[in-house]
Amino acid sequence: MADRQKEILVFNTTQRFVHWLHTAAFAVLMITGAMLYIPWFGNSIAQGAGGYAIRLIHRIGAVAFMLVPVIYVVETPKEWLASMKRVFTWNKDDLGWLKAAPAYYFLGDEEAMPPQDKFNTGQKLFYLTVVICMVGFIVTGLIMWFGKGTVPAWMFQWSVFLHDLCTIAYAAFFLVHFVLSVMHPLMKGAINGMLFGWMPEEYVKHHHARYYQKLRADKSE
Amino acid sequence: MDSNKRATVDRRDFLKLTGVGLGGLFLQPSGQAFASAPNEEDAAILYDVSKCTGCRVCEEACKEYNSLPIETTPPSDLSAIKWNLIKQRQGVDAADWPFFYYQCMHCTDAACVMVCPTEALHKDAEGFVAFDQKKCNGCGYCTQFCPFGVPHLGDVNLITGQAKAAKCTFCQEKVRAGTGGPSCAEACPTGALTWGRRGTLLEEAKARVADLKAEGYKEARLYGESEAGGLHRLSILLDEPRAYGLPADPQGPISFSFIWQKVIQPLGGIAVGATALGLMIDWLVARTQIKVEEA
Repeated sequence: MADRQKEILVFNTTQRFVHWLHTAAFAVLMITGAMLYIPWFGNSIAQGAGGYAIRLIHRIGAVAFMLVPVIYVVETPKEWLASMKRVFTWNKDDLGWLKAAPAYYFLGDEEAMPPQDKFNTGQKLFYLTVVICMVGFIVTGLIMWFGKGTVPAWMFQWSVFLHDLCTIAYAAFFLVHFVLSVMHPLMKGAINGMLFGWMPEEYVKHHHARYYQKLRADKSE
Repeated sequence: MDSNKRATVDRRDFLKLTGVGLGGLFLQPSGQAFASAPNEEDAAILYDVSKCTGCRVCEEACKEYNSLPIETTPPSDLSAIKWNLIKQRQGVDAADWPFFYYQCMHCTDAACVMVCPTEALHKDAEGFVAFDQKKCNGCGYCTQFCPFGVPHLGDVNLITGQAKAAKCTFCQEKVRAGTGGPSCAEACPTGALTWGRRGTLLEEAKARVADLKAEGYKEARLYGESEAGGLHRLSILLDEPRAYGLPADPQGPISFSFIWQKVIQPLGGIAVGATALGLMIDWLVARTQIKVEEA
């Protein structure tokens, strides 16, 4: 395709599907969860039959949420493994990124920015939070769903507590992810990768230089 | 006054103040905050284990007043349809098997009220823990956080989670209407269960404990004066609390319900709020500072 010559496929269909399924499930879970947890947010709606509905929707959202890693692993195991490797690979450039990030994201000063892989340090931090919280959500959520009365009370209490800590970390990081991917002037192009799979070559070269070099090297081999 | 100075707001201070202000939005109004001490005029029940014969008239009175189904096999524990129960336990003297009467302890610092997301469980103006079952959505947090294991869920649909919790309500309708007291206490034929103003009951209980000690019950004591902020079901014991299966310190070293609801919840709000604020500032700064050359 001629118009795709200057573009690079960064996310395949499965990756994009699980990303948006995850997003949808997250939105449902966040809203229904907040209605149950935060008094001013939905106390009156969470009462009686309204509460039944909220809790049922939360469970439907939870099933979708749990399907995400399953679909990802089953459909595209190689890409999943590659992503996991990226998320858990950290080096001194990550420290450099963290130091350079404020000047970059506020003022656009990219002088001190070290070259980044497919995921930059911030994206890796978010991905890592998502992975850790996902495990946390699923384990504690299943205990709360199926273990009430059968697991010891202390385990249930720890579960609700950790479930909420995960929510807080997740919600805060989600805001960062959302603003940077949709609203930040320097990040235009990132969203295309997740919507359509393709990113402008220039964008990849500029924002993910190390990844771009790898792609070039793979091609020439 | 130096007018130049007055006009300057340090950026850091501005951020701090805004952060505090935004964080404050997430702090809930303290309507649910507990009084530090129960009121003397609160309603309360006093149970004197030394006067209990285990006749179970209290259990029948509860079933009748609250229209709870009669059970054919005697239950061994409280349940959604069994709100009070007399159990026999081995006492200090191995040959001694005293009765003990279990029901909601109506704590001042009630964990169930703190974790209930619907306000179905709430503090009555008279101090006891009232319950509005219509509002209950069956989450069951109360069943997991009560240090006495009092609230129970009725039939639970494991898939949808639909259920209703239930527990002793202090016969709230009667007490609120001023037409009577807790049915169990009204029915007790031996005077083991009485009800009245908490301050009065405390005085009576202390006098009774002194008498029991004089009679040779060295371990006689009052339970509930300060436990969990002060209970509205007071007990006169003849032994340590654990001999009756009661926690010596119902709240433990840390109150999980308190940390979960009163610490993590506002802190979470502040964390998320501060993040949102930081992003907003970033967006405002970035869109003016960063010029992107359109390709």
